[in-house]
Formats: sequence, structure tokens, C-alpha cells
Amino acid sequence: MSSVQDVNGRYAVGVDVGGTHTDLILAGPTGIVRSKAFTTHGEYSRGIFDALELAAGQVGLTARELLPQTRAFVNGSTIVTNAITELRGAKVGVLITRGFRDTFRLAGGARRAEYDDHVQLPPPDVVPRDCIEEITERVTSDGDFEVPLDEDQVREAVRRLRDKQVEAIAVCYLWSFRDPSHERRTREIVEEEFPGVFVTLSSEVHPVIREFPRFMTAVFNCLSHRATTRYVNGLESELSGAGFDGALTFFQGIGGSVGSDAVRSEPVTLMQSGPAGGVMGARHAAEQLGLENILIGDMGGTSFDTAVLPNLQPAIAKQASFGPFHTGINILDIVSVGAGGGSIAWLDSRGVPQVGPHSAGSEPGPACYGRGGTEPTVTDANVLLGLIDPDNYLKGRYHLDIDAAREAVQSRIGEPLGWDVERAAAAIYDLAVIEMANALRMVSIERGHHPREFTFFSYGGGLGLFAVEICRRLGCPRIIIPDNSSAFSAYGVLIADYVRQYERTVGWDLGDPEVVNTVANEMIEQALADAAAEGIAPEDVQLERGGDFRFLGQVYEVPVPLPDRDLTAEDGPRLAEEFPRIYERNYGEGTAWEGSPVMMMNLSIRAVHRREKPAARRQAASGDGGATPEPTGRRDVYLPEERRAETVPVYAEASLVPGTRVDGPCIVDVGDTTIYVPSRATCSRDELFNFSLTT
Amino acid sequence: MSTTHVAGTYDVIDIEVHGKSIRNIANEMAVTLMRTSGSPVVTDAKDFSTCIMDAKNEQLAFSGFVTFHISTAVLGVQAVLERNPIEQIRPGDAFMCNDPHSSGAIHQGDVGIVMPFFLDGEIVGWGYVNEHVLDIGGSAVSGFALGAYDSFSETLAFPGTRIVRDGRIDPQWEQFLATNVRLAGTVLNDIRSMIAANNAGQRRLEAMLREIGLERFNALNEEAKRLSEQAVRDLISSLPDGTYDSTDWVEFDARGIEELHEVTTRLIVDGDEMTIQFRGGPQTDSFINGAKPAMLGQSWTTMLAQLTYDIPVNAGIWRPVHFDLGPQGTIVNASAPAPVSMSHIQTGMRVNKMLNDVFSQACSLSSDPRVSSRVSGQPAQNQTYFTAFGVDRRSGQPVVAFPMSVGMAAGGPAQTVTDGLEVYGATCMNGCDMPDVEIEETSQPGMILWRRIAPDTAGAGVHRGGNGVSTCLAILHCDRMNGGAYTNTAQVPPRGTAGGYPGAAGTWEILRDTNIVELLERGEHPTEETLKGGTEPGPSQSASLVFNRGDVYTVVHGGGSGVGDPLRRDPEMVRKDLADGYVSEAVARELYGVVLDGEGRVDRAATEQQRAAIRAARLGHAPEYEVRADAPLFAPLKVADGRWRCTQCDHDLGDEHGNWRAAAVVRENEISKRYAELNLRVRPRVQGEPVVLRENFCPGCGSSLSVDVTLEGHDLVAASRPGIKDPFAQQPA
Repeated sequence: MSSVQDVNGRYAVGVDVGGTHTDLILAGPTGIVRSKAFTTHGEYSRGIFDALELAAGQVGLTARELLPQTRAFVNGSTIVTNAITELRGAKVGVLITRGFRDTFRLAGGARRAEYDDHVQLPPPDVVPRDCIEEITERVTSDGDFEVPLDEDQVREAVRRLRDKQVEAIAVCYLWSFRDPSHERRTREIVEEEFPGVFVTLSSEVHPVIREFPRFMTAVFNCLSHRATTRYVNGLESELSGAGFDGALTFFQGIGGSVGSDAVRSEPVTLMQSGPAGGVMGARHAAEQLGLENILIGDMGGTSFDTAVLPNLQPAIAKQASFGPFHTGINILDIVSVGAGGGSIAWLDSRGVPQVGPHSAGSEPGPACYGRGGTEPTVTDANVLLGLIDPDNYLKGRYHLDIDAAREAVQSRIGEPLGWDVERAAAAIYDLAVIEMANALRMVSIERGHHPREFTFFSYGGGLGLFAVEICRRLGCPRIIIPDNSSAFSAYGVLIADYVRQYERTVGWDLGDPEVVNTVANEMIEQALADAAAEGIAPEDVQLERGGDFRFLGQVYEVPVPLPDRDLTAEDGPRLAEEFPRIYERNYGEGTAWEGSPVMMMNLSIRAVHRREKPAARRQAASGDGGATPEPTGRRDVYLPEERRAETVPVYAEASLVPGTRVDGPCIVDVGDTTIYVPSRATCSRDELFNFSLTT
Repeated sequence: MSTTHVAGTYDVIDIEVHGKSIRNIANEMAVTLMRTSGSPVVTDAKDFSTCIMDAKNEQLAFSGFVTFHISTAVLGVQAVLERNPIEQIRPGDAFMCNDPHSSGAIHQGDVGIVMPFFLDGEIVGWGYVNEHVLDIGGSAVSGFALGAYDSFSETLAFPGTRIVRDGRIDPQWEQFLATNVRLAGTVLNDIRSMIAANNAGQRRLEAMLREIGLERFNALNEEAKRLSEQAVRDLISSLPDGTYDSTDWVEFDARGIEELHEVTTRLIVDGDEMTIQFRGGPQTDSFINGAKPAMLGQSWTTMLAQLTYDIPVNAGIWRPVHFDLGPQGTIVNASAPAPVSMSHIQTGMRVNKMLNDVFSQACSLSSDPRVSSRVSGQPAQNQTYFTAFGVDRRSGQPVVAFPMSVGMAAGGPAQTVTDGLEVYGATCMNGCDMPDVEIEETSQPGMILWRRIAPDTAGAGVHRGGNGVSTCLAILHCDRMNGGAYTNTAQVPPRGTAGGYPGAAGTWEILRDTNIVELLERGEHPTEETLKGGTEPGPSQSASLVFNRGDVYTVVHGGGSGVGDPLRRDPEMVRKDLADGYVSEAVARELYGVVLDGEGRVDRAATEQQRAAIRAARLGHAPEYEVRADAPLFAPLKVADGRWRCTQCDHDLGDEHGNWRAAAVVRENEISKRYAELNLRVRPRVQGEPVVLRENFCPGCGSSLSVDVTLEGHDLVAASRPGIKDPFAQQPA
């Protein structure tokens, strides 16, 4: 490793606890090292310490020696993602406005956009139905009437929930974002009747119009609190027991990290933290390379995740949905399709091969894993094409069974179509490329960005085999496969800033600016207090104000940045004039609703504190960038895009030093990942050790 | 049933890649529409579609949430070609099609914009975008012209009229529309969005053609059509040859007479092709008439949901399926000037139910488990809307009441793999959302007092249907509004399948001169108990209603019907439904035969006993045979050795060419009487022949073979006739 030092001369740790592996990146005086251990479900800190021990060993220390010298420990995990996608967590009780106890079952309309009637399934009960209590109270849309809170009814309901042994209570009243007094009074009563129970008010966790997403956010917050609290407390005590006195923070789906207290009260912000880690890592790496626009792709075992970052700005998916449930959770806007290494190839009712969305997962896994899988997968095709070396998969950790792969591909795809096995494998490869290219098309072209103005950031174990072919389909000219590609999420977690996002519905008609200013100042006060609680001084907090605007009569809003000051009487008319142009920039010329009044529905405040970043290893390029190293071997590859076999050179990662270049067709073996460089493409190494490919 | 096909010149991968690219263009048109419209009709109700045709006007791709538009795109382009000499059609032209009689629309409120796609001065294809606009002028809001006697008094009608030149709407037409429609701003924005979506389609298609060339484009399209065609042929081949009938009744009672219009569907399966025939009485003077676009569109809607859900939509799927609407001038083949503004919801939604019935009959006789699993209950297809127009007392601005959450809250059909979905809407409403209460209270002139699942509205079965939803809306923000209200299914509910029971019908009522304002001013919660007001008896469809401030509108939607004999439902599922409040104790005991012990657990022995007692009551004596342990759940009948047999006990039900119902034990009741016992809602008829429920039981084991909904005095409901091809006499088109 090169002699790059962490800025403080001490260590920083980023950990990404995934479903199978726990990835860790350690930055310190001797540079960056990475390690990988198995995730230990139920007791995650054991897996984290396993990974930590391995990384510490690489710098000649034990974990116990390392931790007292560590200033920051940033943690991304799938705990909340698991709780919410599997609907496993605390037993939740709900207090809801009378007349609306079925809100969760109706689920804002659970009809899926699928033709097949067999997939139109009633949504599962996240809250047991006997734990949903209706409460007499009502606030109206414009505050013209009020039905007072029936406090006795609340007391009785809370006692019943206590007797049913709920572990958390979500308070879900209509219009509470506008007038939270009933929800707040209810919390006081809950605390009297059931001291110590975890309570979430919908008006606090998501004070935004649309009750189903707001209520669902409160329920998911309750559902995920137990596992999160246990996890955070456990990690906190194990780390401090091992001498750690630095900052422990947790990475959120919105792409920044916050401290333990914030996570314990709003665990739901940890949703989708893993994929967000990769996006933020790519963004940081792109910044160092001076890139402006990047497309991101991450291929795992079951899915392909992608995002677009024009001007390196990640988009936020507001009100993200999980299964049939709409929520108010804000996460980085990442599109996921079922095209991973384990995705199964099959013939549809027309006899046309398809890839995904079903996956062989890790058990039994692809046929070539030899664990009983009989369905042909993308990985099986790669083995048959010669793109993956069956004797050296993941640094030789697995030996792959090429005969099992051949049998699966031949019997399920080759024979029915009358094709030889190579042609069948090439077809699977092609279809995987198309699925991934279509997902990228969805996040780029369909949102008004052309891939030719973007660089494709490719990471995750298997994507290096497909990146060039995907980009050729999109007209995207350049690819970066970053250093640390296989543990890139942990890298993103490590370099995280402090980020918290606040939102409130204000319903401003662009008239009196005080409507916004009053709310903005309350929200800023809150934001600064939250930051102070994590030891961040007010002057170190960068505040970004924004509004969600729409034309009157529309349903969805367009985010518009607002100035970093109180609004004045001139701002309303100015925004009314500017908004149609902003709208047309998003949706095209002639699309603005001419003559319709403009509304600002929600106000958002984003509080950011830039944290120090460890530097990446760097080595000046030697020569003119044209030198080609000696191949370390040769392999027979069936070139899928040309439908022909060729013996191609294989280069080991170590020989491809900054300043060298190899031309396709060839293979670059990076140990835990493989890069396929097709004919006419090139691959070089930049001074930050990233692989840079041209298409 | 998967057969494989190796294409001639092209690799199937080439064809699939190309097909996906065209579907991407249709999707991108849809995305452009969604993003530029922003109208709740598009973003929440998903009431729109996009389609691409080739130069021959054959479909290449469809991106639809509203599946019945599969028919309207081709008919729309056809209308444009008939009315406009092709040499006069220029790039950037677009044509408006919203008339079921002249330009292929489902109903007038669903406006289609057709745009030719050009490459180097030559028409290479057609784009079609369709959206339900909030209004299109005429006698009622949003084109639902309940009071009209002919199509002239319904709405504005555009027979494929050029309203766009050079990619922009013609200012003359813009002024005309602005003058003639309610909410002109919103409607014109929607039309501009449809133009923008077509413009996006032209750009993308042109880019594709520059890349691959017209010859390859056309050749690959033909191959893709051929693949879809062959898949539909394979599917039809897996259905037993034969003749399958279904009859239903379209309701209309707005003018003092309780009209029921009989409509019949006949399906003939013949090898790898099928013919779907519709017959009905003379067309009538109200908006219920079925015009060709809705008849074809709703047929494909049910095909897609039940049978061809996994086959890409293009012209190929039409080839093995033949439609015969019978002579013109009937309720199933209406011609001008018959009013047709509810073509899709009235006669059209009976089409959905009848096709579901005939497909289920055929599927249940198939030996292919994938096919027999497609037997299903009927969806409620219950649309209960009200629309009104008034002035908001707070702002003085005009306001349209059209609470969408009310319309889509009907129950879905029971499936062999699941109970039906609540808020299924109608079959054609793919992916529609139910707007939040807070959104409805922002846009509608009132307050929603409750929105809850209505228990016992679903039909019972091994799997039950989805329950309907009850919603209550109080008018508070207008002093006076004018409008109409209706339900399409009040007297003839959806029937059950394979021995399953039918669901409840829909209903609405208005409580007048209520105390709601006083209650709210006193800070009291208005509930069913505390709300006081008067109701007036009235029809289930009413064109001219006045809503005053403080009037309260309540709707209870119908539920989907069940599949399979409810006596074979897992008692645990009944226990859970009871605990969850989806069925009442009476229904659990009397219809499902499930008895609980003092602690709310299933009492196995008492349940066995109760179920045996119900079987005995069905027959009037203890059954001779027991139900076989391995008897199928969703196919009560089979044909073996030339005889109809009950699959539950093998009892003989007569010659395969006869009607097995003649051998069944039949219990017939006026439907509202029997429904009262089953705790289901239906509106009794006070005029004409009553609707009756006929429960057909196996004389051997007392199993429910079929629960029929028909009219008193009518013949036996027709049985399937496997092996026999007996079409209605063909009529010249």
C-alpha cells in the first residue's frame, strides 16, 4: 500500500453490514485496507468485530489496539431494511382517527400495475388488527371545525394495548401535520398509562400531507425500533468496552450519517442505507476525478441497483414505497431491477428466453455453486463463456462446477431452442445486459439526461463483465470501475457527512412570506439543536432550504431550491414567475400549466455538516498512458457480442499500474472481481488506482 | 404448455430486444404524459394509456394502465385514415378521437390523440395517447351523461379531427374547447400533455429507425407479432374445445322504470382459435349502450387479467381471437345516435363478468393445472360515482366534485391462489391508487367522515372475494351543487364460480338536511349514530340531483365473488376473517359452517357437525356420499366417459350433451330474501320479473356446484358443452 495518511493521523472505520457479508474499510496512517467477514445475524457486532480484527491485522494491530486510536466509526446496516421488507419487528399498536382503522389494509389502493389477477394480493397486516384503536378526535383541512380529543377513550385504548403487550405505539391522526396538538396530548396520556413504551407521532416523523404515507412511516418507525435499539446499544457498549471513544454514527438511506440518539428515536431513517453507501462513495470518487455527471450501477447476487447523479447531485426519492406500502421515508433515488448474478434464465410462454426477476439467491445459488441449484443463472452463463475462471472464483474461495452450469444452461435454454451451449450462454449474457441497460435508461433518458454526457460508475462483484456492453447500448462513452469496487458501500459509509432532512407541509399560496418564515425558523431551530446534540456547532452546519412546488390542481410536486434567508414579499411573485420555466426544464417545453396558480406544498430543510475524508491512495502515472503490461495468462473465451471463441490475454490487477493500458478483447483479474474488456474497448488505470474503460 | 419457436431469419433474442425497445418507447410516452399532466386522473387513478402502431395500423406496443384502450388505438387511427386523405397528413399533425361511434373511443370522456410518426416524409407508424379528461362539455361533468337520450346531448364529439399542426394545438380549436368545457385550463393542459407524449414517441421512434433502418424495423415487428400470436394460440389450445355461455343484465332505472337489458356471451373454443359472440336486445335511449370499442376493449381487459397476462400486447394477439357483435343497433353493438357515455361501465363491465364466467367454465374443465388454476370468481365491477358542479363558498371559485376514492373501492375476484383484493376497482383499472383522505378533502367540497371495509360484502368461497368499501362524504364547502349519482350494479350482483357465492351489490344514499354542521360546531364527531337527516327513496341512477350544504353522501361498494364451495374453506381462515371483522359470526356459521369455541378458536368437531348439517339442509336429507378427501377445490364438475360427474363424490349428473343442472338439487329464492339470510346487500326489484338466486347442489354429497343469478321463470342456466361447436348464426358485420 502507498504511504497516504489519514488526515488526523488516526483511524476511521466504515462498515457495511449486508445480508451475507460484512464489508469493512479502514483508513489510517498506512492508507486504506479492506476486509470482509460473514454477517452474524442476531448478533451483528460479532461479524463486525471479525471484520475489524482482519483489517486491524493488515496494519499490524489487534482490534483492541486499533479502537482507542480510532476517531470515527461509521456503520451502515440492513437491519431496518430487513425489518421493513420482511415485516418482522416489534409488536405495534396504533391509535387512529375514528372512522379510519382500515387505512392500512386499504393501503392507498393496493392494486398492482400488473395484468395478472393472481398477483393482486391483499396487503399483509403490519399491525395486528386488534391492536388498531379508533379515537374520537378530528381536525379539518382548513381548521374550521375541531372535534376535541376524547382523552378517556385514549386512556382506555392504551390500557388495552398494554394488556396486549404491544412494544410500540404509533399515533396517527388526520391533518396532524397541520395541527399536532391532539397527537402531542395523546403522547402525554400514553406516557402516563404505559410508561416506557416507544411512541411515534405521525406529525413528528413525517409532518407532510397524505395520511397513508405519514401513518405508515410512524408504523414502520415503531416496527423497526426494537431491533435498531438493541443493535445500536450493543455496538455502542462493545466499542466503548474495547476502548473506542470516537464518534459512532449510523448511515441513513438519504446518504449521510447521524449519531446513536437520533437513530434510536427515528430508526426508519436507516432504511436502504446499504445502496446509499455505494452512491455516496461513487460521488466522492467522482469528485476526486473531477467528473461532473455520473451514472451508477451496482450488481449483486439478486439485483442491479442504479442511480443518476447529474452535477454529482443525487436525487432524493421522496415518499418511497416498499411493497404495497407508501411511506414518507426519504432515500436516495435508486432504481433496482431483478438482474443479478443469481438471476435465473427461463423461457416465457412464447418460448423466448428471459433473465430474472427470480433469483437462485445464495441458497441454492447458481448451478455452478454445486449446492443443488438446477436453474441456469447469469453466473452460470459467465462461467460457460469463459469470463469467470471456475478455479479462481472470488480469490479461489469457491471452486465452481462448470459441468453443472453446462447441464443447466443446455437443458433449460439450449436444447429447447436448438442451440449449442455457448450460444445459449451468450443469449443469457445479452439479456442480462439489456435488463441492466433498460434500468439505466429509466433513470437517465426517461428523466431527461442523456448517457453520452455521463460517466458510468460500475461496482459490485459481477458488473465488470457487463459494463462495456451496457454502455455501448446506451451511448455512454466512459466507465470507471473504482478501486475497492467490491466493498464500495463500506467506502461510501466511511466518507459520510452528517445529513438530516426535515420536511413540513405549509401549503403556501406564494402570498404572505411569513407563512413560510415562521415554519422555516422553527425547523432551523430544531435542526441546529439536533446538530448540537451531536457536538456540531451551529456555524459548522450548512442549511439548504427547498420547497416542493406544483400548479394548483396537480398531485405531485417539483423540488425548487430556496434562498438561505427569510423570504420577503418579492419572493412570492418571483417564484410564481420562475416556476413554469423550472417545470419545463424538468418536463419539456410547453408542459407548464399556463394560467394555473402556483403553490408551494412542503418546505424542506437539509442540514449538512461536512466531515473530514480520508484520502485515497494515489500514484502518479508513469509514461504516456499507453504502455501495455505482460499478460499473466491466456484463457479461451466465447465473445458473447461477436458469437465466436477466441483465446484472450488475462492481466492480473497488480500488473496494471497507473499509466498502463490494455486493449480488448481481454480479461483483467482483480481477485474478488473480474473485468471483461470486449473487442475495440480499452482499459487503463488512473493515478487513484481506478480502472478506466472506453467503449 | 410452453412450446418453443425458432424464428426464421432472426434470432429470438433479436426479436425480443427489438420488442422491448418498442415497449420502452410506449413507456416513455406514458412517463412523459404522467410527468407533464400532473392531473390526479393520470397520476393517481392511472386512467390513461399509450400505444404505437406500424404503418399498416397494426399494434406494436401498448403501455396501459387502463387495459380496455387496447381496442381504441387501432380504431382511432382507422377513423383518422377514413376522414383525412393520407397525402394531406403532415408531420406534427395530431387528431382528436373521443367518439365511440365515429372514432373508436371507449366513451367520450376518454380522449385519444392520434399522431402520425414520420421518417423522411413517409408515415412509418402511429402514436396514440388516451387519457380520461376531467370534462369534455355536454350535459354532465366528465362525460358521464346520465340524462342524455342520444349521443348529441351527451358531450362534444371529435370524429378524428385535426386539432394539432406542427406539434402544437391549433389556436382556433384551443378557443373552441376553452369555451365549451368545464375546467378549461385543466382540460387543455391534459391535451397538451398528450401531444407532448406523442412528440416524445415521434422523436424516439425516429432515432430508432435511423439506427436500424425501416426494413429491419418492419421485419422484426412481424416476427414479434408472430411470437405473440403463437403464444395465444398455444393458450387457446390448452382450453377444451366447446361452447360456453353466459348471460347477464345491464341495469338502468333513472327514469322511473326498472329496466334490465339482457346480454349474452358465447365462447366457442375451436383448436387454437376462439370466437367470442355477443348478443343483446335493441339499443336503448340511455348511456348504457355498448359500442364496439368498449365491447372489444373490455373483452381484452378480461383476457389479459385471466389468461394472456404474460404475453406482450401487439397485433399478433388479435389474430386467433374472433369477435362477433351481432347485428348493429343492439345494446351490444350500438350505432349512432344511441347514447354511449357509459358504454364501458354499463354494458362493458357486464362483458367483463360474462367473459370471466365463460373462461372459468373452460379453464375448470382443462387437465392442465396452469390453466385450471385460472378459474376465478367475478370482480364486483361495481362503479358507484357521483359528480357535481358548484361554487366553493370560501373562494367563490367553481368546483367539480368527483371523489375518485369513491369510485374505485369495489372488491376484487377470488382467485384459486388468494382471496380477492379490497379496492380492486374494476378489472380495467390496473395500478390505480386510492387518493388519501387528506387529498380528497383538499380537492373535494367536503369532509370524509369514514372510509372502512364493509364486512360481508364479499362472496363466500374456498377463497372469498374482496370486500367492498364504505365511504361517507359530507358536502360542506358549497351551498348548492348540481349533479348526478349512480351505481351500475344494484340489482344483479356478480355471481360466484365453481360453487362459490356471489358478492353484494353496491348502493348509495344521500342524507338530507342533516345536523352535521351543528354537530361539528359543538365539537361532536359525526357518526352513523349521531348523524340525523332524512332519506328519500330514489332510483340507483339519478341524473338531476341537488346537493345542499350539510347533505351527506354515503356509498357502500359491492364485493367480488367467491370461488369454490365455502364449506371447504379452511376454518382457520374463517376464524381470522371473523376476528378481523371481515365476516360476521352469522355468515361464518351459516355459510361457511365454522363454529368457534368460547376462546375464539375453531371448534373442529362442532364445525364438522355444522358443515354436515348444512349439506343435509341443502338436500333436505343427509347426503348419501361423503366428499372425497382429494376432491379438487375449484372444479366441482367434470366430464368422464360421456357423463357429467360431481368431482367431490363422483355422483353421475347426466349425459355430457345435456345440462347437468337438470340433475342437481336446486334451491331458488328471490335474491333479496336469500341475500338477507346471507347478510348480503342487493336492491330488490319492485317492477318486472324478480332476480333470483339458484343454488345448485350435488344430490350425492350436497356440494355447491354453481350458484346462479338469473330472472324468475327463466330456463336453466346453460351448461358448458365440451366438444360441441355451436355458434350463434353469424351476422354480416
